Amino acid sequence: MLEVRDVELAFGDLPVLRGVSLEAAEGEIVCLLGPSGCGKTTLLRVIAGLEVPERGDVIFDGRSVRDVPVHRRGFGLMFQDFALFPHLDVARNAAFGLRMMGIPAAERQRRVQEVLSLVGLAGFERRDVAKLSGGEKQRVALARSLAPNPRLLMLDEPLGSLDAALRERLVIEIREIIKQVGRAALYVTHDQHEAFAIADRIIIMNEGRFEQVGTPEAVYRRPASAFVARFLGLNNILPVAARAENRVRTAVGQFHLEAAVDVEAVLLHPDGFQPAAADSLEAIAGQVERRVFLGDAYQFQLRAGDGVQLTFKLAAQAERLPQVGENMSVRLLPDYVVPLNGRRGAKG
Amino acid sequence: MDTGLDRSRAALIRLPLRYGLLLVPAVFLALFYFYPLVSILAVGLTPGGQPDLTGFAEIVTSAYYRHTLGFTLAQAALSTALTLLLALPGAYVFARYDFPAKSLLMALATLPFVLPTVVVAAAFSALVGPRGLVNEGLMFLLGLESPPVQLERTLAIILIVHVFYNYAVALRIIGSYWANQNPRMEEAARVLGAAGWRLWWEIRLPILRPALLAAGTLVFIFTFTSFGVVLILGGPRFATLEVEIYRQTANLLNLPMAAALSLVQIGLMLVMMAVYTRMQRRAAADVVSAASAARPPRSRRARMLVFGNLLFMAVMLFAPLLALMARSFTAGGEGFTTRYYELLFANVRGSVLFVPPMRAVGNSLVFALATTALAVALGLITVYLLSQRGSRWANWLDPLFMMPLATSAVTLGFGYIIALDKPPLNLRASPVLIPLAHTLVAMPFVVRSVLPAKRSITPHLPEAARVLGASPWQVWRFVDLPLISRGLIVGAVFAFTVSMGEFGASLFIARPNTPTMPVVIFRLLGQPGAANYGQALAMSVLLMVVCAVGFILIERLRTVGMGEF
Repeated sequence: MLEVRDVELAFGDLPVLRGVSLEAAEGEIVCLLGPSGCGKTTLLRVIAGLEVPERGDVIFDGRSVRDVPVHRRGFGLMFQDFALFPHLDVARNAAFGLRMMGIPAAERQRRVQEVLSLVGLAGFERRDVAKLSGGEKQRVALARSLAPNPRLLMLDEPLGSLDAALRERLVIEIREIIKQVGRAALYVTHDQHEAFAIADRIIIMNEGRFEQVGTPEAVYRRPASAFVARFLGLNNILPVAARAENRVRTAVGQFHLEAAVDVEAVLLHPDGFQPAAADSLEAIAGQVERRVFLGDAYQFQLRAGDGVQLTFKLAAQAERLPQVGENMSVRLLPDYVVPLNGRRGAKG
Repeated sequence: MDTGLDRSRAALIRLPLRYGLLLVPAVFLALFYFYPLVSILAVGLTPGGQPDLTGFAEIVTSAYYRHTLGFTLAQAALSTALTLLLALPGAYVFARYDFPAKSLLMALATLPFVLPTVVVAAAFSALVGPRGLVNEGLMFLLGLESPPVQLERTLAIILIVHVFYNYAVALRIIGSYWANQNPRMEEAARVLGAAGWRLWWEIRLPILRPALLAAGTLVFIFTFTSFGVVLILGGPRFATLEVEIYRQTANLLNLPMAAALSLVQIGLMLVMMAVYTRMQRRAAADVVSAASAARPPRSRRARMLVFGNLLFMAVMLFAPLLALMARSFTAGGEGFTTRYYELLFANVRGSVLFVPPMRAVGNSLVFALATTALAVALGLITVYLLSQRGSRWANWLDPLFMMPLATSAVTLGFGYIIALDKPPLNLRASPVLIPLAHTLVAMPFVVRSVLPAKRSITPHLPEAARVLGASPWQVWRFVDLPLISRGLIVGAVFAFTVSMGEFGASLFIARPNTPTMPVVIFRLLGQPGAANYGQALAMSVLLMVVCAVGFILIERLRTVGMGEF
């Protein structure tokens, strides 16, 4: 349905997109996740036609949209700051795209009613957009981009300016609305939890390139590079000191790993730690440096051999857990040693 | 030891002194602003000592005055529409694109704002008048006997000069408002299917509405009170209310009629100023700070748009001024000569003037220096009066002190003639009338330049200085003064420039033996012969240089936008 091929774009001397390609199928929600300045917003703007790429192409339903101007593409784009029209009320904002298409008034009104109730704003038709709350503005912006029934829906950090509690609720609502509409959607965010909650597929971007593409589960469980791991807050990254056919050796011990030949670094995934007996073979021993109570779990920071710091969570109801300063032994479930590729494998 | 009593006694003495000082601007305003206005009211409402409204009845019933009023409104409306129409693409270019020397160009575009009307009238006459560069060139090239471009004494030239004057006012207000609007709004509209004229009609114009209304009202006010331009370039066929007031006074000596017209003018001005204040507040309140969306023009079309607009600005701005300079050396058509500058020093027998024209330069300088001193002193006291914290008076006094800005110079000059030439305050023969009138016009500029700086001084600053051991005088000298000095200099230069170029009031009150530069230029322009014309242009060049230097100083020092005025 949507296909982006080898798009490159620079602002002056600054490369923003360095050859990115993606595909999105009908009904699929693809999330572009990355730190600010990684090019994710620019990619949306290229697809919308607001930026012209220097190289590459955007193809929709098998046809290039290179020569189609912005206003004829029939895509929907929801801006981070909503960009509501201050001179129009809620209903007229929502109706704007329909009016541009020349839809007759009666049908327009019916459709506006439909999208406004879809986003939970029935009864808000005549309200002044300047006087709405952040969450209401966000709904108007969503309704406005949905109303013309766009072939592709793009959302640029739609929840960025809202507080955390509202964000958590709205992200689920937005996913349900998009799924109900059934069109392909691209969703840009820098917040991994938002991305996990909404996406069918996540693309992690860094410095104008795609670092990893996969389901939320795959990206989280098996980050492909040190950048992805760190961006997701997974920091137990260790350089590989020596490797055998299916084993690697690190500063804190040896681990089983399939196809370990080229591996430069591994992630010890924090979700795979368990308390272990101090004398067991696979035990990683160290001293507790920090212990933070999180409610359902404790977060530990352990200083292991060679000064390596490991962080992980252990369920709060487990047997007596050591205090700060005490020694502690843990082990890692076999599937939680993740090989990382990339130049910046080693920590520090 | 009775220090407590001592201190309260000192305060008792200081109190009247302080309030006495604060009273000075109020007394000045009462004597030299409200007293003349009241005199106009008296002459207008009771021309023969009895209440008599026939003057007003005549304005309403006579086709002639109805036509004058109609023309005043119509030309103002046309000028406003034309200015907005031409400034809109300019504002778009300045809001959307980055290009070299952008801020310099914006500053230069504002130059006409400080140019005296007589200079501008002379400049346009030097460019497109019958003896102007364009006509001379066309006659030479095409071998014509008479000038092909006939713009003098047409509505067209009035409109062109009004655009010249007000283009930058509209450009600044609309451009800065536009640059502050979220550029995503327009992109959102494009994604939703708007393009071309629909983008203008559905999004840009509605979003710019507050700025368009504010700029439009201001331009309308400026052109509604247009005096020098219409008087000099329009000829006898055209008269705005201002010109008519002048003619009734100077040519027909019909003071009651002039007074009645002045009252109509004052009334309309008050309404328009009230409208403008509201518009301006709305245009300012809607500003959301957004990251600048200006980018270098990338596409061919964008580059053409930027280039075309800058070319238009450069031609409109510089062509008349360059023509003025060129013609001041070649007015007679016999090649380059400095004769007209030399003639300025001569007292030619039979001239319209009683003194050598160069004397007017001295007069203008003296008047301008006196005006600057007076306006700065009074303006400074006014600023302290207006910035007193928690004062109930300040809100009420602020518009009062701005009123002279809303009163046309012609009305002011007329008021001086009828109020200050007889007891109790007879200043008819005194040369102080001119600096007094100029001070009234200039003082609001000083106040507007200094007040923001003064208001930005939080009470903690002087408190901190006092705790550190500064006396009240030292607090003022080492805290207040350094902080307001920039604004003070800007205000002083404004006052000087305004005084140098002031025409409307000066024409009424300048004595024949103490004319100012603008008055001399006006008299010379009205005379036949290349010598008079050349001298008018030469003197215009001198005045232009003075005003341009003042303008450069202001632009380098200013911190607040033109929107303040």
